[in-house]
Amino acid sequence: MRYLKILEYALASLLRRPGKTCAILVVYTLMIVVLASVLFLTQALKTEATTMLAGGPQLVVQKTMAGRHELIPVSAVEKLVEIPGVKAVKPRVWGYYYDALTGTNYTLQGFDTLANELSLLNGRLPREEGECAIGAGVARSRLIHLQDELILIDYDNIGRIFTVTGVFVSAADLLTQDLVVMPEGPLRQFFGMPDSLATDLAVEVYNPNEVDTIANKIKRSLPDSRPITQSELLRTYHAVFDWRGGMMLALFSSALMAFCILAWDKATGLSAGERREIGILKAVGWDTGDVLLLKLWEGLALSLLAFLSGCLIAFILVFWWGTPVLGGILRGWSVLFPALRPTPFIDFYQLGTLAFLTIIPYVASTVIPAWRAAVTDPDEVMRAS
Amino acid sequence: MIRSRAYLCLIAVLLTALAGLTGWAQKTSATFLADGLPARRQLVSVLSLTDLALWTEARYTRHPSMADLFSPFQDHPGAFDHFPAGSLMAPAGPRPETTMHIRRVAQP
Amino acid sequence: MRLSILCLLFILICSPLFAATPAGPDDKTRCGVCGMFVAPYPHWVAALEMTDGQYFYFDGPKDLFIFYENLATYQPGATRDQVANLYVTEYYTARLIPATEVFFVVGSDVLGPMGRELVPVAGREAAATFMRDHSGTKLMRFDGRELLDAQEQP
Repeated sequence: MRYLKILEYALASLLRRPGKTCAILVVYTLMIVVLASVLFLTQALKTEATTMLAGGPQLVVQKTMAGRHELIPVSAVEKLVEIPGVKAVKPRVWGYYYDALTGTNYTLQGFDTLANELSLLNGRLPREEGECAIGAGVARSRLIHLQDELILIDYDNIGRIFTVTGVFVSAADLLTQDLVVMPEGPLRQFFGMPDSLATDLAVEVYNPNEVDTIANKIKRSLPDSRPITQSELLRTYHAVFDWRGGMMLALFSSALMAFCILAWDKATGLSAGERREIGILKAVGWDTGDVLLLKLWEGLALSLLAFLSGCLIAFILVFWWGTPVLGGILRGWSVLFPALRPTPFIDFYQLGTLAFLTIIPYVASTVIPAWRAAVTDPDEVMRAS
Repeated sequence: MIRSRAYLCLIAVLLTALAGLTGWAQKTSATFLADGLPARRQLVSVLSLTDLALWTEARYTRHPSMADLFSPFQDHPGAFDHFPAGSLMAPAGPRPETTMHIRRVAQP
Repeated sequence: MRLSILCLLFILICSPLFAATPAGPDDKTRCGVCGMFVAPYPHWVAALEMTDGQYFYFDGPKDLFIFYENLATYQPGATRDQVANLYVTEYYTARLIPATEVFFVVGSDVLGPMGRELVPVAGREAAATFMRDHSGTKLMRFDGRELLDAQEQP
């Protein structure tokens, strides 16, 4: 009951300075919104990326020449299948296409026509020359639909017409939005890539424990190659989306810095009025503990409100609204950008960290100066002002 | 006592809303793992995809894991980048988990 | 031509023999020795088949042989004669095959769910490669009754 009464008094004293309280609340909430939405978005994308991409090739072998990625000779396949533990080696044909018409980059991906139909594709996979399946982003940028025609300029500057036999559903945008998929043969003709070369080789391995050893052996038998294991690939995505990395950290530190300045300012500049208030409270019989409790409640009341509403707003922005602000930052200069509706994977550990890093410093910065004022003699405090 | 009650009620409402959203998130992500993921894995394996189609502006942002990280003028670690997406990607890339230092023993 | 037909016939006749591998553990199956769940380690699963069609699963060949050598402790009343077949998951192909068809590499740096393992590798050449790659120290094989040193055999 005593706690409730002190809370009541704390709220009243907060409301007595509505301007200041409001300003702090808004800044505090905004900071939480920015940080929490960065956390939510990166965590969701990271989880989604790593779970989805785990279905991809276990080992990709590239060739490098003069420090650059080169086409790899298909004859290398024979060397690789002899390594014990290798199940199959599949040459991959893929590449990029700059579409001058819309100013976008497409990724042209070849595939094995023996593959099964995909459930995430409206229509069917292309089976022969002159057919292709496209991502929803390509369809959007070229304003084409199923069974329409997609015209692309090949290596020889001749316009080629492809019938769109399938459009990937936009739920799979994160993987497919800029893809133009066609069978391997026609794609080679389009790129002018000889049959003896491939973009890289995908190696299937029976036992995942053996992947690293096989990668070492590949490096030894093809010294100019660069094997990329799936764990490296996933690690790349961990690094990309790691909230401690790159821009996230910059965002975080600048916001935190601004907030610290605000809190510090508030803390050191305990106004004469506030000091007198503490003095009077002590004079009328409050002891130091009560004053501290009052200040603790003040800080906690603001922090809790700001933290909870900030998280709530961030959640709605990221998972329901489609990240209106952050999306713009993430979008960069890409012309094609997937609709960001990430699956809500939430890491409570990170949220806890965020709470710890914001609430504790703020509460401390309100309580400590109050404590300094509260331990001095009330008479002296009131006289000094 | 009105203010404190109102405040506690507000906190309770916010907490309930957050708890509800968290529950929704757990349910949605569980559904994704159960229903959405197998179809996406199939897509990834049939087309043998290695990367997300998030940033299409350059080849090292379209395929971060396939990019030749060690070649200059592309993704030089720590360099300020031409594209905004480059600043989002930590200059970490695939790197060894262990390092080994080899020193020559001085001949007596 | 005739040779290929003969080969085909041979394969057709032999295939039922090869086909009789265990179905594999389900999610609830525990290792017969250490009690760990077996399903999370599909690349280490080992199985023991009794003559009455009962299967025991293990999370590595080491536990399989511990079970087999101490049958009376783990399955009181059972004798060696009641054991029909032993299966292990071959390292390079990740398939369950009879334990008599593989070499076991001892002392390698490849760790199973229970630490150091007898790693099953099919074929002497592959076993030699494995010993070289993973610094194995000793080669053994199972003759249907016990584990023998296989170093000296041709």
